[in-house]
Amino acid sequence: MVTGLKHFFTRPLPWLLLHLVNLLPALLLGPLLVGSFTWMARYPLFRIALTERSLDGLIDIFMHAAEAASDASPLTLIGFALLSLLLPVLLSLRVFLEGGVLLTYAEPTAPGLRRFFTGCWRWLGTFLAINLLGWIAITLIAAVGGALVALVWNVALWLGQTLAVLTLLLLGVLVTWIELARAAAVAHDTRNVFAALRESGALFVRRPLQLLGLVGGALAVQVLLMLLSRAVMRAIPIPWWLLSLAVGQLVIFLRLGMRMARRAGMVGLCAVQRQA
Amino acid sequence: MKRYLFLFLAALLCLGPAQAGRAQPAPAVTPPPEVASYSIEVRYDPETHQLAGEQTIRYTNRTDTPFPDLVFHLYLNAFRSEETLWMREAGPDHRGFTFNPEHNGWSRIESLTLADGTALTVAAVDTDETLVRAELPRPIAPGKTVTLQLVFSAQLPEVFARTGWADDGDFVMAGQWFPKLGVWEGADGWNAHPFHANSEFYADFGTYEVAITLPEGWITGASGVSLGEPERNDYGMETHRYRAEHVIDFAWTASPHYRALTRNVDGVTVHVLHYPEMRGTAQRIQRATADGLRLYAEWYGPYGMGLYPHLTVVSIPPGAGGAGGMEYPTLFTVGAMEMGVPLPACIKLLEIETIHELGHQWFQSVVASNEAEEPWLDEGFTDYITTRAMEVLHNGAMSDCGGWNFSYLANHRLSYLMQPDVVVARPAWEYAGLMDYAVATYSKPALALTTLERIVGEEAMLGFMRAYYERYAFAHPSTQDVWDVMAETLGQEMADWFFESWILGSDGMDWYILDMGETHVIIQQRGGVCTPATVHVQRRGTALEEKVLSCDSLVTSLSGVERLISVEIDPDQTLPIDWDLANNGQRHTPDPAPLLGLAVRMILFLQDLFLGGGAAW
Repeated sequence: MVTGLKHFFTRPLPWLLLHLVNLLPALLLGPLLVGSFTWMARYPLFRIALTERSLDGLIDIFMHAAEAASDASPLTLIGFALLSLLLPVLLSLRVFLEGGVLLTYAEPTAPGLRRFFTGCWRWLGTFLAINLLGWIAITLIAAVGGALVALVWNVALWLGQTLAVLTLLLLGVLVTWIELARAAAVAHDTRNVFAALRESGALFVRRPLQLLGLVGGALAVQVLLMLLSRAVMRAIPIPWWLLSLAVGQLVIFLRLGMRMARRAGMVGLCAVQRQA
Repeated sequence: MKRYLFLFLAALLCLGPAQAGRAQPAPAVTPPPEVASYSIEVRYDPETHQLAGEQTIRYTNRTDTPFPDLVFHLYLNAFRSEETLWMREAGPDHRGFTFNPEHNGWSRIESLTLADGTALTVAAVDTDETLVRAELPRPIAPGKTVTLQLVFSAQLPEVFARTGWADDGDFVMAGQWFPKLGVWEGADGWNAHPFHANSEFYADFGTYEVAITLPEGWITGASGVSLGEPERNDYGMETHRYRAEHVIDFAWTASPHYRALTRNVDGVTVHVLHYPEMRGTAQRIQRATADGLRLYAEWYGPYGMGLYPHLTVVSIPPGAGGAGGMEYPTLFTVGAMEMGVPLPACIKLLEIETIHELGHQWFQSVVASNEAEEPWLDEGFTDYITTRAMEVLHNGAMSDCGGWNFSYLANHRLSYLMQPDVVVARPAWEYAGLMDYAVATYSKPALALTTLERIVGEEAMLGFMRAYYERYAFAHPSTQDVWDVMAETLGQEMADWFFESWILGSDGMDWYILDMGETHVIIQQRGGVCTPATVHVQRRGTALEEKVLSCDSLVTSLSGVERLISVEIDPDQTLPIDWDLANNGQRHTPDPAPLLGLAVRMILFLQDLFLGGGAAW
């Protein structure tokens, strides 16, 4: 695991690449989606409402929406259309890049760009299959668990609450297993879905504490980041756009970093298991 | 029109540093003379939902005119059927709750006699018998007291319009449950009206001693103080005794499921009665009650003028919301906003309802205006002080979910803007419907009083409110009385402007920018009501300029204002009753900062979405 984490810090390419992939579409779509609000900027009340986060002022401004309709921008509609097209593309891109990311942390020496993208192609099919199996399992467990909880809740509240917690824990384990399976596939250099699932499943038994430490620690840091960022962003007045952008990007960067670190750690754990 | 400028300048002089935090010494108060006192023994049957009661009533003529007869309210008869006046006016629903004709309500005087045994004949005044009259053998002279023995029976409806039973009979909220005398006003006769849908109540001050007999194990709450543990009898019943002094009404509640949260708040014992599963809600209610008690006492004067040692708050159980949101002396109910699920903390409807009903302890229970003829006096003032309290306690929020504040004051504005030409000072039965009534009695007066406070300043407004509360404690003020107090404390012209514009009139006010170029701006005023306003003019390369818009002319033209950036009328929002706050300001060119800020937030939102939403995974 330590080797994996070392690779995370010394090989920043995946981190930077994924941040760009996350940022660029948002930079394109964001201004489009708010294009319809341009007419509001003539009202001083608009700035006040956004600074104080007051719906009062916005409601008064919206009363003029009808007369501003002719000025309404079609950009927002274009933005929504683009978003609906881009979302599946971006989700697919994430899966595609995963192979190269994990390879970067698995290889003894840092791979170049060519090797990176070779890795992306090599494991794309495997990862899609793992993800599909995983989502089927998650859906089944969530449905069964949810139904049981609903059934029991009114009869015995304590039992319902216990079942809910257990269902959530099981789902958490399942999600971790899927992610670990992808890491195992790369660490063991296999494209066999079931072999990857088997190897990653074995880690739960052989190295539970290390796994718990890695996943739990990453989760704790993510939650802390989110709570901190929520508090900070709420404190920053909306018109202070430059500060919002800087703080927001820092938080996104760190959140992405935690994901990369978690993956790097998983790859490291799988590599140790392989050597053993 | 120049007098408005004078008013405005006078108001500026009244402005001083906010001293809301200064505690007020308790004013000396003489307990009110008793007019209508009741000793009631009542037995309640949860199976039939019926009451059987006996009353001894002592009514003292505190006027200069003898009264020849007696007029009683039998409010429950309004719920006898769907054909009553009340029902025809309201429709089958009251504030979102539906009447069940299979579980109706009624009230009947079985016998009425004088202390010497002389029987009196009771006759209906209105067809629904919500008012009845009994002739006296001899008029009761000024200063004299008549003692009456009355036997009555009644049936409580399934919870509707503030009163009744629910939960298969395991919950009862008894409001307006006993025959109650009207108010003798001397030469004007008895002030008592048939029960209308939008009307509330009006009665005299006195002492209530009430014994309520119920099945064993029921927990009760009532106006006044409990006189000890319930007394058990041989029939599986218990009698709960209460005494309430210096009050205009008596209400009670009972359930075998109640739990109580008790707390002492500055010498007042506060009981919150609640069902076990609503403990969380009860705790919120208790907190809001404690906060409200302290604030109102600090601002206006002691709770009950120091004469009420106790306060009962009833958290209405689910399914009985029609009994929620109502005030009685030293007791109020919360739960009209119940939606079957606990409200998240960011939605403050529970706090608003609690603080509003608590506010009625000042403006209704102590300052006992006529709720039938002048409903705006108690509702408008109470909603104004509620808005004020919410400002202090919750930054004014009616909701602040996600960090976005929607204020209670804005809620008043939205309501008012739906019917901006409504006239406030009218009897309850003259409003066109529930919306008309709500805007006229709650929203418009609350907005108008808030606007008044922002014009004259907090200190001056507190002075007026304190004078009103102290002078009319345990009395029955009218609109004219309030006008006179305002004239004494804020000046005749300010009082005349306030009442003529906002209480008696139907006009409104809107300052707005008619036209704006780079070197000129034209400001106009419309609506019929005017008050001076400040205007901020921002120009490139110069400091902010402040001017005063007077009411001398409806159109004001500012010329020679080169390099204009923006113009803002009333930038400090001292006039929340203005019809349109958005058109108070305009920029020559769009302000880029808020747009960029929105764009950045959208970018960050999208990035979060692409990461899988708020999930940390």
